Amino acid sequence: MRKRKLVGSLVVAIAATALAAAPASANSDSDSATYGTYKMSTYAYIDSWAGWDNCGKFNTYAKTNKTVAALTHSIEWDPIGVGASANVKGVGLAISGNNTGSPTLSFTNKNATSASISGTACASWSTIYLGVFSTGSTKIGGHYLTSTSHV
Amino acid sequence: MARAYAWAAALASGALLMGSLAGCSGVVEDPISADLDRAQAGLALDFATLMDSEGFVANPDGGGSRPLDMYSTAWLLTLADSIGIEAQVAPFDDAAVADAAGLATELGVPDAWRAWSWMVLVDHGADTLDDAREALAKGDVYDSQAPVDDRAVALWVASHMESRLEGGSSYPGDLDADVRQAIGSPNLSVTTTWLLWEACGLVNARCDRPSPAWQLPATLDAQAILDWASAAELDAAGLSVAGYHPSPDVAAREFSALSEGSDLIAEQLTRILVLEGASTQTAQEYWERSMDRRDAVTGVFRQYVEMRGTIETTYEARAALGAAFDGFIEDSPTRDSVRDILNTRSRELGMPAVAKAVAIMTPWGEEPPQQYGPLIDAVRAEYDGEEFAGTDGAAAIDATFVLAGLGVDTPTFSVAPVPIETATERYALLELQAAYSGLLANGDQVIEYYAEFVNDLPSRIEQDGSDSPFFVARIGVLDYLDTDLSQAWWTAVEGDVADLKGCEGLPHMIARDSARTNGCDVNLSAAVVNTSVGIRTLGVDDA
Repeated sequence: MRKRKLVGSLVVAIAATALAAAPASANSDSDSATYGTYKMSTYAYIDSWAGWDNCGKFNTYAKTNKTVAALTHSIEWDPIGVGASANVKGVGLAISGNNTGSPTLSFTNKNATSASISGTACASWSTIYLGVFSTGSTKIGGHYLTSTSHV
Repeated sequence: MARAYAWAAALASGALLMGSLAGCSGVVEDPISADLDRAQAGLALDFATLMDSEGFVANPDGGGSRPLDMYSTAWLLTLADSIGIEAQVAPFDDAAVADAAGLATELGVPDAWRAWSWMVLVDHGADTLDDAREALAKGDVYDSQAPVDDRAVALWVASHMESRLEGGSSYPGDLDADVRQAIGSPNLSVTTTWLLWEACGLVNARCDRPSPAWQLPATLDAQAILDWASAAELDAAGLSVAGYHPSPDVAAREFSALSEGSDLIAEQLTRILVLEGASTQTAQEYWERSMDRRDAVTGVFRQYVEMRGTIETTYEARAALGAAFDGFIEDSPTRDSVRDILNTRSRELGMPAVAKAVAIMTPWGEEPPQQYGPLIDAVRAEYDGEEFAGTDGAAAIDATFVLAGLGVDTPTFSVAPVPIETATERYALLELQAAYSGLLANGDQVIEYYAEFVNDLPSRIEQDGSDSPFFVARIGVLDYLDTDLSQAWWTAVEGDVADLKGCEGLPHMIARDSARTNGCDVNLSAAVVNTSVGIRTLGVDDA
């Protein structure tokens, strides 16, 4: 086959984007729960492109705008696609699987305004999109507050 | 989310296409362009429902059900009780118990609250308290050294269980004495005072009457709303709360502004409205909106998840909509949000994300704003002169496509072709696209290396069909080639693309698999609408 000059040239001019959809996602800073002046946000950043084995660095955290006695940040990976899976390494935390088998991580920081987790996430070749559920949880006046976002 | 933009509706209705459609103005438009306009108009409608409050487009999740959330369910059922709605849940089977308990463990729901949640669920029709008893059996629930707030919650939960359930609470000590001792502690918040005062009543403890004080602060946060509800409860119970005055208008206003999924705060505001004699219409509406996450079998509510957009996905929306993207984000805070990230946190981003953020800031067809020149230079410098081994060139190619689309100079780098395997085919297709687009220093070498693979591409597409994770990338590469494929072959591929079109609520996007088990995808939609076969298929006039 030769290079094509017909419809393709129009299409490519429009595209200017890599058509091989990336397996990993990008970043979000979400004020996922706001109660008046009290804010609890979750943030997730995943390198949009992985190197070998579809792996990419990630950094996620939950944060509050006021110091709390304990802030728990949990993440649950969401590999999407037929037969998709993900694994995580280099986080320095115990990695567990949830009821769907996705790796989950949790970290609690005391007397803090943020709790973060970083490391490397790897998606299987059949993963079309690697999402993440990111949760922040804390207690206010003895009451448990939590919020979860998905990027 | 789910912001219906007037612009998107106008585009979908064809209002913005008039004049370009054949017969409308006497100018006959290229049929490909008309198809593209139609495809983009449909995608704009779907993308508008995926835009978050900060103006980022979210990529849908896989469409699977979230776990049962008994903590949120307990607050919602309590809210329903307060406004006279009779809500029931079904008896739990083992799978439902495991699902709910699993989420509570994963998210670290405190044991006392886990036990309270089960108690509320049992009050509304559930039939198991095993998990609650297990939670309450843990010694640290009643740790006398725990912060007074936590200790008050544990005593309050135990008192509820003691008074309401057969078999009591299995509290390990003298509950009556401990409640009396706790309410005598100095400097209790009004919230803690209410929990303990109610506990006193539940176990008939002869507690000293507290003398709480509280007044509405100028700005409300979570603690203030908890305190306000508690002050209202104490007032209704006949205790004088110094400084407390009903302010139902403020509560109603606060409720109206409440984020979805804030079930604890919603219940507390409902109690305030009820106790202060105000309309509970906002609570009723909140309850009705929450039905979206109620499990049809158990009646239990599933975990609420806020879908958030990303730079990556928003950039893909731009790639999909082309010139129409500027109109798409016109009434949204997209560029304000991206500007904020670029100004404050660009160092946290990888170079592809930086390039995509700059692209979002750039009106279609214009040069990037001058102030982002240094960022573009940084992206270029990151990859300039590099010789990437293995699949390490992925990020460079991704970022370079963005720069090329912006019409700025691209970095000069080379990549190593890779043997075609399932684990590497996606990357190989990316290298090919970059080579055909003239973005690689060694493009000719790459094209030559993959010649056999490229020749075999039509048969791979035909054989694997649309459920291959590489289907979209494969048809994308075809557009660079001068093929002699038959019309029947193209018709079959168009059928494969059509098989992927549309998911529930997103009728114009591309699904991740033909069975729709993984939802639709913004990135795939962008890729497909930028192929000739995709334009023809997505641009079909459904009307």
